[in-house]
Amino acid sequence: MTKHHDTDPFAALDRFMAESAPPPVIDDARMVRLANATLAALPRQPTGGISRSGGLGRWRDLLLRYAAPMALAGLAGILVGLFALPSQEATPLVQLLHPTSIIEAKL
Amino acid sequence: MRIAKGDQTAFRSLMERHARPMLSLAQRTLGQAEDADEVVQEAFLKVWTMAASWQPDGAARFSTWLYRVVLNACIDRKRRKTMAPLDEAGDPVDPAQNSHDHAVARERHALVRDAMGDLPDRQREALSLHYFSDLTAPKAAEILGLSVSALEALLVRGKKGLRVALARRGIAGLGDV
Repeated sequence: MTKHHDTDPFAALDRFMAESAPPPVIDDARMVRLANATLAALPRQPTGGISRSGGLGRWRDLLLRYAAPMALAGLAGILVGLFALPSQEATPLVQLLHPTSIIEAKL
Repeated sequence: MRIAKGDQTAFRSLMERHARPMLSLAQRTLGQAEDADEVVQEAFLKVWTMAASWQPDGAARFSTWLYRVVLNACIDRKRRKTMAPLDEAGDPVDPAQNSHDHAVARERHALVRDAMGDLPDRQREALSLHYFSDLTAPKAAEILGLSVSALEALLVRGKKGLRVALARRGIAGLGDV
C-alpha cells in the first residue's frame, strides 16, 4: 500500500515487516481445490431474504413449526376452560353455552 | 443476481474473480495456508447464504464488503489462537524456501503476529491491510469505513504500538520506541 523511503520514521519497521511477511502461495491447484470444496459445502439454495421462494419457504416453515401449534393449543385451552369449570363458578357465557349448569346451579 | 437463484456456475465465476486477493491477504495475515483456505471458504459461503438479500446498488461495493469479511475472519481467528509453538505451527505458506530461510521467516512472522495481537482491533485491521495486501490507501480506507487521513492517523498509532510490541519481544533497531 504505502511505500516507504528513508525519511519515513517507520522505514525500518516497514522493511522489517516486508521481510517478515511470507509470500502468498496461490497456485491453480489450490484455487481449484478451494472452489470445489466451497461448492461442495454450499447449502442447496441461497437464503437471507423474503423476496425469493427460499425466503418465503423459511417464513412458512416458521409458521407451521411454531405459530400453528400454539394457536391450536390456545384454542384447546379455551374450550377446556369453558366446559370443565365447576357449575357454581360458571360465567354467564358458560351458562349460555352449557345450559345444564343453570339447572345444577338452581338445584 | 444469478447467484441468488442458486446458479453455481455464476458463483464459481465470482470465486475465480475474487478469491486470489482474498487468499493473499488471509495467507499473509494468518501465516498458515490451510487457515487462509478455511477463512476464504467461509467468506464465500457467506456470500452464497446472503445472496438473496444482497443489494448490488448498496453503498458498499462487493469486493469492499468481501475484504471486510475476510479481514474480520482473520482477526477473529488470530484472537482465538494464542501463539502456537513453532513445531505446532502447521504447514508454512511457502514450502519452496530452503530450510534455514524458512525457519527464520516462520519465526519472524510468528513474532510479528504475536506482537500485532497486542494492538487494538482497529489498528490491527489497518496494519494488516497496509502490510499484507496490495491495496491502495483509498481502497483500504473504504474497507475500514474511514477517510484516508483517518486511516493514516490510525496507521501511525498502529506502527508506534507495533514497534513497542516488537521491542518487548527483543526486536530492536526499528526506530524510536
